[in-house]
Amino acid sequence: MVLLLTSDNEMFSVAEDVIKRSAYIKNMLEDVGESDLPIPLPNVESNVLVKILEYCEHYRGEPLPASDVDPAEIGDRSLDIADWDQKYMAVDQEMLFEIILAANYLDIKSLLDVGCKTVAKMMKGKSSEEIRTLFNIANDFTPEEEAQIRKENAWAECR
Amino acid sequence: MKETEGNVDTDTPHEVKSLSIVTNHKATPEIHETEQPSEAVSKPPESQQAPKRKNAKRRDLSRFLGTMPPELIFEVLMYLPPQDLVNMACTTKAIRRLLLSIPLLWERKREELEAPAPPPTFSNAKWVSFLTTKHCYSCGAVNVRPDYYLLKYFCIKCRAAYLINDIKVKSMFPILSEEILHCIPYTQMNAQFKHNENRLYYSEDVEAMKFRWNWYLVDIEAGKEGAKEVFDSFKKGRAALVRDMQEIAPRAETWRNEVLARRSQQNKAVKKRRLDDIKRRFLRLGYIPEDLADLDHTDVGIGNSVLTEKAWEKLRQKLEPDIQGRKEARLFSEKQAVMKSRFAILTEAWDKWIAFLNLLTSEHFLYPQSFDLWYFLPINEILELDSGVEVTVKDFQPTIDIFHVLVSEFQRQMEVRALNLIPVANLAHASSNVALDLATSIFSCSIAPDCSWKDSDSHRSPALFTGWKAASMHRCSYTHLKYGVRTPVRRSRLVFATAASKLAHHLVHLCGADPFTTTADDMDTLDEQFICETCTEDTSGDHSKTAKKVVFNWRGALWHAAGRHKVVADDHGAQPTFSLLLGDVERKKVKRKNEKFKREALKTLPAWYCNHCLTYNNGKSGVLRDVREHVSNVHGIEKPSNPANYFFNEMCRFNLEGRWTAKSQD
Repeated sequence: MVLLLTSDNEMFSVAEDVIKRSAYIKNMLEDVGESDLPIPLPNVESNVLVKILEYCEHYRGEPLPASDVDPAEIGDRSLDIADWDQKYMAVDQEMLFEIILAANYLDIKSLLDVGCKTVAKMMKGKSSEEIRTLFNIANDFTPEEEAQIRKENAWAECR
Repeated sequence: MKETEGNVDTDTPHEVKSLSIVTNHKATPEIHETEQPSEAVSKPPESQQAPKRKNAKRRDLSRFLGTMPPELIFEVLMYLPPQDLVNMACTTKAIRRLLLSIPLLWERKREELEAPAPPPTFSNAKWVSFLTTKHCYSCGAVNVRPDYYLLKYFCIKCRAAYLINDIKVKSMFPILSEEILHCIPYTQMNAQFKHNENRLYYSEDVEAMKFRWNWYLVDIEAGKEGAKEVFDSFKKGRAALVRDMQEIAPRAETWRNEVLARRSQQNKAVKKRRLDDIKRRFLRLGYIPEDLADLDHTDVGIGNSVLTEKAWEKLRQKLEPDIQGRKEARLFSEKQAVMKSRFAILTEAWDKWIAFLNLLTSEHFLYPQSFDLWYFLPINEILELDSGVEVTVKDFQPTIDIFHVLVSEFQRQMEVRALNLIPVANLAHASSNVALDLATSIFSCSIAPDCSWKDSDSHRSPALFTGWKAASMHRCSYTHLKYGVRTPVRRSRLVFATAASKLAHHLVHLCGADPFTTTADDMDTLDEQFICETCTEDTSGDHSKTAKKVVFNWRGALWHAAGRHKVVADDHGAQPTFSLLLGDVERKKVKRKNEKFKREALKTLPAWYCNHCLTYNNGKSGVLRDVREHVSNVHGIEKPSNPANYFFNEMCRFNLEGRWTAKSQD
């Protein structure tokens, strides 16, 4: 069993084969060896860890994904998400972002992919205004700036 | 519990949540492993599941992006199609700055688009934005075609308004140097995007260039050091840019065409997949591929995206009625084939039975035709069995065995039906045995005169059938198809000719006979003549004193009233007035004329059936002489003139007796 200590001081005891889906924990266990000391997770709150563990438990026993792939590579960029993953990701936006950050921190590649896909899927096919509404963000462009954006000029400065 | 700089003070007991105790019970320092950890984790108690924040404040996307490591943002954004990325870059300034700070992202997006390299003055971001934008730069109209030569989008109206040819440029800017035009981007695409000889410039580009041009000239005139060199360099650079734009434009056009072709193919493929999905769903509902044949050409917009449940439900509502209709047509067609086959079995058995009876042709008219069998309940039950049930002659055998019963019942019902049509007022106790044969029992066909057979034994008369003998011989051309089998409806079309019956009652009364007991045959025997008081020989209805009155026998009077005065079924029209022709001399004279006419007509009128077969003249009546020859030659009968060998077609009686005779005015 592995002890995990969250940022809000909650302690979790987790089976090793469950949490080894996290490359971060896996590497740490390999580096440190067996220890009774809990592994501190200062970037993960307990409620987020519960979700993360739910994911790890669901995929317990399944082969771990291959080593890192360069994200800049154009590979399969399909936004298809497995049914269970879709239901798993049916959380509010804040939790979604926390899961992504935690998955990134804990280096759980497959969960990170699902999280990124979920966010991307939320934005896919949406206009600027729809994205603003979706994420509750204010438009800080003036009408003139918006008109400029429509034209090519606003893009000219970046190369 | 204390926590310092991420280290944990293990001396202090902690609240530990094992996989099994991810519950709220606190402060058990012991770490214990659950017996069934999987279940505990996969189904944590609700209180320990990620809290549901129904009213949680949405986290600002830009704040989220701001806290995310760049590679993570890159990861998310790489999933977005180029168009969505452009949209996202237009949400807020912060997000825009962030996105534009990742040039690799835009390079990858351009590669995703498989677009050519950007023009010299374009970044990948600008190029991707340009390639995915479809707005008119001037008015904002959507779905506008780009002009890659100008690197701008203009709708047709704005093209006409703001693109000017070199002649117009010279008229608008008369002092403009010719050289300046080499530095301004131009297009040779007309409004229909066809190559044009004239060069078109964007008026704002001309204005801007003119301003810049003058700016350099001012510097040169002011004698600024190196100003001329700077100007030359500018001109050289601009000319090179224009050349580059002209060179890149065809490549971009080609790219666009390829994209459109690819998209069209993809759309077709997606549409096909969607259609296949729709078909699969209909097949699961019990339809067969044949029912779905029209789906490939339906006018209903199938759509070209992945089929969602909601879309399916909507499409099903629109498509299913036609599919259902096609299915019903198929089932009907299948049943029709089955029914025809069953009916053929029945007809064969029926024909054999009828042949066995060796009926006289006159009797055939009172027998059901094979089509009538459909309505015999025991037969109908077999015919209407489910299409999947195999029916053989054995199934019909029990009904074949009782054909004679069915026929008796059929004849009885036909007579009862006709009898029931006769108004009670027409009958008296004394008429019970002769009700159907009374001179006042006159029927008609409800759809006369349209019901007559063409090229057949048509009643070329007003459709009046006096007595059951005539009514039973009426063959109505009106039929309907039942499972593809033509079925006569003649027997159900008979109606009682009320007005004609009243007239007959009047005529019988004029003869001094009893209308409740006098039959049609009795009236034929009496053979009284009647004068129509309304008409004269002159059909124009001239009632001049010199016009001759018209005289009829009783049947002729009825037909005259029906044809001329429309006295048939309804009782509302004015009844013509008839009077009895008096005076022996006059009566004898008229009768003689009638007899003579009848004798002649009987020789030539095709009003006779062979009484031994239905094959003579293909079942139609013919001239008496021919029928006798047929009886002699075909049936080998020595005395063909015996009246038992032939019988009269009642439908032709009008031609025999419907004539009138003119009578001088007294």
